Amino acid sequence: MNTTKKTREPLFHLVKRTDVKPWLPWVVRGVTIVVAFLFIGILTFASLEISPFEVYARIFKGAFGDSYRVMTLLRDVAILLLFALAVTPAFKMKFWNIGAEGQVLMGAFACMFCIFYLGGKVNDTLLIFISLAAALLVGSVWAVIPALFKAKWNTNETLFTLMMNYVAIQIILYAIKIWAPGGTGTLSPSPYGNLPTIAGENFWFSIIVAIVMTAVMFIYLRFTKHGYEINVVGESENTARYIGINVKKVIIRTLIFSGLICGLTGFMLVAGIDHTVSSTTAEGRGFTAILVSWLAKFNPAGMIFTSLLVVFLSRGMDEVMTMNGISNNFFSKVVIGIMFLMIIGCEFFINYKIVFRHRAKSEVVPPAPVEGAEKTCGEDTSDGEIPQATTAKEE
Amino acid sequence: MLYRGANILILDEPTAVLTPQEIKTLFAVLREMKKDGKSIVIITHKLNEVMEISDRVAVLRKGEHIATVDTKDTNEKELADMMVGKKLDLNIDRKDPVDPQPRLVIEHMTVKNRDGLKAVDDVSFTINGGEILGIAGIAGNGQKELLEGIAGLQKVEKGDIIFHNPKENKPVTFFHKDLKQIKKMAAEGKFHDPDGKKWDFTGLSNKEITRLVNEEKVLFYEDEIIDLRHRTPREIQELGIKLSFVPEDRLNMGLVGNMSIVDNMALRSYRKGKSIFVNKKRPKTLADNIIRELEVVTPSDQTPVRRLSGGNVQKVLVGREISSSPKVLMAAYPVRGLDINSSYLIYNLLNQQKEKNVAVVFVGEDLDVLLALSDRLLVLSGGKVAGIVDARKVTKEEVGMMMLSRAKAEDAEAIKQMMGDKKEDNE
Repeated sequence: MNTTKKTREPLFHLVKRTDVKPWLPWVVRGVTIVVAFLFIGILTFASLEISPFEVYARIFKGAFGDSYRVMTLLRDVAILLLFALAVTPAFKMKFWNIGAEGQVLMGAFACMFCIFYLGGKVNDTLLIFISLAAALLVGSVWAVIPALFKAKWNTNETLFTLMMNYVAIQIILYAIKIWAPGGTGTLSPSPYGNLPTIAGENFWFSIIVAIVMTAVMFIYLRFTKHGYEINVVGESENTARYIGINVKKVIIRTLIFSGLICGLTGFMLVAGIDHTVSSTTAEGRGFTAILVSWLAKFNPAGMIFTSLLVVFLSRGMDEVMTMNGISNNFFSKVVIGIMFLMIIGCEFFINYKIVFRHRAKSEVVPPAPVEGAEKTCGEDTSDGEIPQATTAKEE
Repeated sequence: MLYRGANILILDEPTAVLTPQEIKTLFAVLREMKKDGKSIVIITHKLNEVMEISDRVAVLRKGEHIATVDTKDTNEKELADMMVGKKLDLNIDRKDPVDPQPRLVIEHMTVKNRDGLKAVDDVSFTINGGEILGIAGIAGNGQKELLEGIAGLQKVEKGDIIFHNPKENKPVTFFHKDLKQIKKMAAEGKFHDPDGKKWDFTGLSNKEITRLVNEEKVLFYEDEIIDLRHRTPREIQELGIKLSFVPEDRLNMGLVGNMSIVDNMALRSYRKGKSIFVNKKRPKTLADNIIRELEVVTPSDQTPVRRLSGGNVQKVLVGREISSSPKVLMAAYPVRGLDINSSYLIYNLLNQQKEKNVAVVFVGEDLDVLLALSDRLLVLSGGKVAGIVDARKVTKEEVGMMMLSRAKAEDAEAIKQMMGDKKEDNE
């Protein structure tokens, strides 16, 4: 199609890659992350006047500075990973459940409910099991309600699950009013029903649970009949009906499973880490988890890396901010946003390559902005991709 | 383009989305332009259009220029041969049905469409094993609802779908019948040997007959009679009724575009077994067999189906449906959008199924093909049966009249066009 005439030809054009090599997506993503870090360094330098190298060093120090920081980082990764695992089966089914926040909060609430009313009255080990069961039950009930409505009346699950989040927050606020009547609005940590610490630290439990659940979810989605059905329903509901899958049953079953993991996450947060509950227990991770899951293409193994990346950046940038005496975390959110945008943008370059006008001399031509792409993201990503695009195999 | 006064006009498959009347208008415009001295290049896969509109034809195959010929010096057969690169047999080899037995009896079936109107209205007919029943009719006269109703995908308002399920051949035993009864029934043609040939005991002594019976060589059929109404699609499928292909978009129903060929093979079989895991071995063998036998062009069996061309997608789907040895195979517009070669491959596959005593239902658009492929032809008009005729004796004009019997007058033109088409009209 590209007849070489001397007439005007566009500087470059986009060609869909026909054979995507298995390594290519990873190279593109790796390059993107490097470019994103460069960009983050420049941005921080421009706004805070810290040298980029200083920024990187501090990010690294904030995340991996000492063994305590490393363990806290891993714990946060584990919790975020659990959130992401919880939303994944529903997302794979194209059931847009954005209510993980509320489902986890309700799990945490149920756990705290048991601890508050039974703490000290029953054996502590028994209490742990009771509160775990309660968290699982309430988490899955909270998730299955929108699923039932979807199956029965085809309601919009996105709006439904979103609104359920607010209900969950209000329930917790109400409960705290009753449980902690002092007016402080906070419930002090309970000594009862806490998970035992391993080697004196409280994070091991979360990490072990997250590892186990990642493996379970990976196998569930990839190798089981349930996972296969989820995939078919997500890809084509008509085909699912055609081969006799009961779509409603699959939706409800999957959301129960999703809710169970949310309940488990809530339980881990209360019994394992916080020992109390508040309306911010989930810290918005129910929403971050959607991105974590999506960026990993709903692959539980990939989510280990995406959640690590998010937590690493967030903790690292917090450190940068603290060093500069800025107490709120808006900047770390900006940075995470940039990273996500770039990673999402780079998917484009996995599917397409840029072919430049002077192909005969395979030299790198200065990049031109990608039309229509998000400004910072598009420009920078294409920047990072040029070697990629031109060296990509051409016969 | 025309407005801007173009001198060269290139049209890529311009007729794909047009109705026959619109095609006529378009061609009239093109002829006018030709008179004005414009150059027109028209790309199409419909040979009858090539013959009708062009002065010269260039044939391309896999990106190579094969030949350029004057239209008046060639014919459709020659062009098709050049397109495919080998001698093409454009004949459909229709064998006479052998002993057709009722397989599916539809009685007073009524199916409503989404708007609550009767799409299939009190339809009754019989589908026989070992026979191809063609279904003709103007598009949207209840074909889709009829098939989906039988397959359990649409609610059947009224009527019955009686399925005669041919059971395994069972040997006759002396436990149930004595020699005299057996001889009497054999004379009525009730028994057959393991090769399917009828037993005729004349000339055989009682002793020999006794020996044959004891050696379980005397088999009989027994039909299990089941009403399919109120059965789930899954139960109906497990009885061996397969609905293949969907007219508008094959990847929308039947296959999952983003899944590999192997995973698509597993759609039918993944439930088998008690294990909670999906067995991928059998689907893989099946996928590889289909790729080999039906010559599916694909980089590997792990390629997502969506990346295959239309014909290859169709081969994958038909291959899978046939592989589970169905008892009824219903195919709706199976060749829509396919090239000539693939189309004839599909026809041959349907014929093979018929020879295996499968009851084949073929919903088609092209009357020439319907008449050449079917044994009997059911004509639908306005959701009702306008007639069931012997496809060997009826003429296109007669079928056209039947199709029109309930259609509005404005559709008359479309029918005439359809009958005028000589070859593949793939919409």
